[in-house]
Amino acid sequence: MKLLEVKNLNVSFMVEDEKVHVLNDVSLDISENEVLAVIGETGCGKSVTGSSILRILPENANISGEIYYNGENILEMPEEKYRLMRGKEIASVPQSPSTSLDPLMKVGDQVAECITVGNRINGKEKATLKGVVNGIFSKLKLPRENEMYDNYPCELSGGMRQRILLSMGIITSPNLLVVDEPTKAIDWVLRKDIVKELKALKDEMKCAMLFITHDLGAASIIADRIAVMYSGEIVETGPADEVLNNPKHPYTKGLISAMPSRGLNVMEGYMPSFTDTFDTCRFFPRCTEKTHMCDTQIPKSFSINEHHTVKCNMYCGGN
Amino acid sequence: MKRVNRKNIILYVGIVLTAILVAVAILAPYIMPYDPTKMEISQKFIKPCAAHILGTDHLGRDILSRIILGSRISLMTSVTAIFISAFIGTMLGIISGYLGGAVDTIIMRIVDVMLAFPAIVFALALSTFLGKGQTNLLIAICCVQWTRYARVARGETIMFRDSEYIQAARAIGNSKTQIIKNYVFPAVISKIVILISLDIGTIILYCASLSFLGLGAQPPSPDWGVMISEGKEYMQYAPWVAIAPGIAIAFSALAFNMLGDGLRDLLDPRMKETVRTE
Amino acid sequence: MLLEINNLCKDYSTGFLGNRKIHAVDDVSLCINEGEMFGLIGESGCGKSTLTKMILGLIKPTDGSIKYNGEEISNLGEKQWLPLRKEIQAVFQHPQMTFNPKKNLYYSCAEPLRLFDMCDKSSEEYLVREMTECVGISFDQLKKFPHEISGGQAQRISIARALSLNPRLLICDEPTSMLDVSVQAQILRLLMQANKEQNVAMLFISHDLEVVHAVCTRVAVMKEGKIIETGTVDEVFENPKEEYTKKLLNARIEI
Repeated sequence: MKLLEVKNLNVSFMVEDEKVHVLNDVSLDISENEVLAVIGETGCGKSVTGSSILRILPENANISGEIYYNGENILEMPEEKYRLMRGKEIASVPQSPSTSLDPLMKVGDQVAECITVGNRINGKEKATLKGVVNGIFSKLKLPRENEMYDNYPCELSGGMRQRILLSMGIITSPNLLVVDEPTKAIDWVLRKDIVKELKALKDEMKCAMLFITHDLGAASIIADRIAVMYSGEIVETGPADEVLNNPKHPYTKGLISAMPSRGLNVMEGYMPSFTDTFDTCRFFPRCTEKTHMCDTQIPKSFSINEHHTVKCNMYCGGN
Repeated sequence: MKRVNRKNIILYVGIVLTAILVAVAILAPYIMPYDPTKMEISQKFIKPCAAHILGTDHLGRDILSRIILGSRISLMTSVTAIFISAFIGTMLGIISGYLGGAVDTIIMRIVDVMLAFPAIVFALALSTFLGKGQTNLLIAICCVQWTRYARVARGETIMFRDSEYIQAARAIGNSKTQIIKNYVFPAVISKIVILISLDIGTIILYCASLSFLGLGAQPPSPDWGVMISEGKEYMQYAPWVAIAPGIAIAFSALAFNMLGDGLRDLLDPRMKETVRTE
Repeated sequence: MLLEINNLCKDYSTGFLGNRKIHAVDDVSLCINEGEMFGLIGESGCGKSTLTKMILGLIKPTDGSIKYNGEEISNLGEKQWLPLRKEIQAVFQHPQMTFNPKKNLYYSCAEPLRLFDMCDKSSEEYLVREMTECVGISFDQLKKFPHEISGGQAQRISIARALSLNPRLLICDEPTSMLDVSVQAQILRLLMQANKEQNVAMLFISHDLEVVHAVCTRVAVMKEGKIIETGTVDEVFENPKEEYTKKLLNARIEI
């Protein structure tokens, strides 16, 4: 059984009396101890996918579909039951290190709060708690790990704050960690270090991870499998090596060859807006490999091999 | 899914009340039942009745008519006062904030000195110095009031001054005046408008208190403050003479305060519903 | 030599009595030739932005000289700078934030034309249409406000606006760091095309070595306000001399 299985997830938002369809039939799964990277550009719906799994979507969202965690549909679970599970079994690392921490609270206390969940604790427990937090800090190679507990967020650099957020995610030893854009707001130089630390940590804690990113490089380091998202749909899923080195979907190909080190090739056009309606493949206007079928037919998912699926008419013959 | 929440209700009620007030002021000559300055000593101190809904005062003038005409004086004075002070304050505030340095220090120290005086005391002192009369009341209020706008405009300007789009505007060749005119002013003005709508109630109260003290409009003009001042002599046996204009003042202050609160909530971007897709 | 910077310094005073000096830019010298793509690499907070602001005349240096076409420009007043604005233009990091948020994009595009009296009212619309279509933005888009368009579109418009004055030098301050990979490629191609067709020299500031590698011919590495290494892209990338440059190169992720 898979640890997490998302089936035909549809999410739409009501914005000023209009329905904006953001996710369209998203299906993905994560096995235990596996890292799935969801790759996509700004506004493709990758963060909404993460938020749906964590059930932290805003009130104006409509969700349909199924999300199974260990065989249980978490979309139908009562709020109270899920609240206990979130944080303990499914944890998350939020996106921006500059705004996700309480500026008036010591970082150590913020991390410790993830375990105590607001329960009062006595002095003795507090000392052991501090030990646990410091242990996490040293695992993440935070400098001066014994003094770090008493720092306030403003005293730390962006990279350090990102590590604090990571430690908040892992301190409860969750089975599934949802990490949203961990490399977005930090220095380019630190990007590689953070991802490597995350990988080492994941190996040690033996947790599965949903790694949401726009950064192909970061995904190549940590991911076992990659799902490529375009305009609210998953267009390609497969093992990381295969997707990066032998992409099948024209969008994935374009994305990879647009990287400066892969030739800086231009994909014309922009991602369509969520208010558009589609009667062809969503990538159709930008596609360079379209066939006669693409005019009329919305592509289904086709399997290239056991692990690799592509949503593109090119592969309808089974390749 | 339009939700009518509490804040919207405050705004709507504010709009309706303000509209009533403005309509009364505009239509005053047509809706007053009597000539508000016509004295009939034989008719003095008539209790509120069908003929004189709010009664008459010590000179036999109809109070309702005086209040209706008084709304014009009250609104005109406070609106003029607020626009003049907002204009002066915003300009000085923007200049102070944008140029910084010595200009900023001088303007802001003047503001500090002004704020050190209690407003009413300062206005009183100034009116004594300039003499009685409506114009001098206006000047007195503006002298105190502009400092608020200067502070807000300066704060906003400093916030925008170093933003990237102003840098870009400078890089593309805008001069200081052009930047202030096309970039800083439009950015600051929305805050000022909210402040104006919040302040107008206070200014109505100011005007009333100063004319109550005998500094603004002079009798026999039907100013609300003057009316209370006249009525206070007869408080014991003809309370309606003072109470009716008092209620009028309270009503207009309330109307504008509700409008201001409602507007602020409406225009405050944090109150808006947003989609978060990323 | 188009731009020559010699021993440029900028200090900021901090501390309780203004007695602590921070050297934001410390003894920087570099030169950019006609039509050259010059890269400047550095982490955030290394003084790159201060340097660009000084070149654009937005702040005055504490010491040193900036020569444009052999003329000293660091001590010019606001009025004397105006004719130079046509020659030296800039593209900034946050595309949506470089436009007047209260005006539509047409206003922002026509702004330089109006400021420099480059055309009369009747031909203004035609010129704006032409310049935005050059960067692949349809004229209808200009009715929108800056927050209503995507980052990539905004960056295109800001490039179009900068190029509309036919500058000789374009300062690109992290023009793609807020954009996605595929949009980044579009923007970089656009800049490279402008460099080739209009022979605009560029000071290309970025923290992303891959981008600098793909776009520039010469490169300087900046650290803590100082330039620690300068050379052609091949020299610096193949054979770095400084430890810091090596560290930066190590941070690249090869895929």
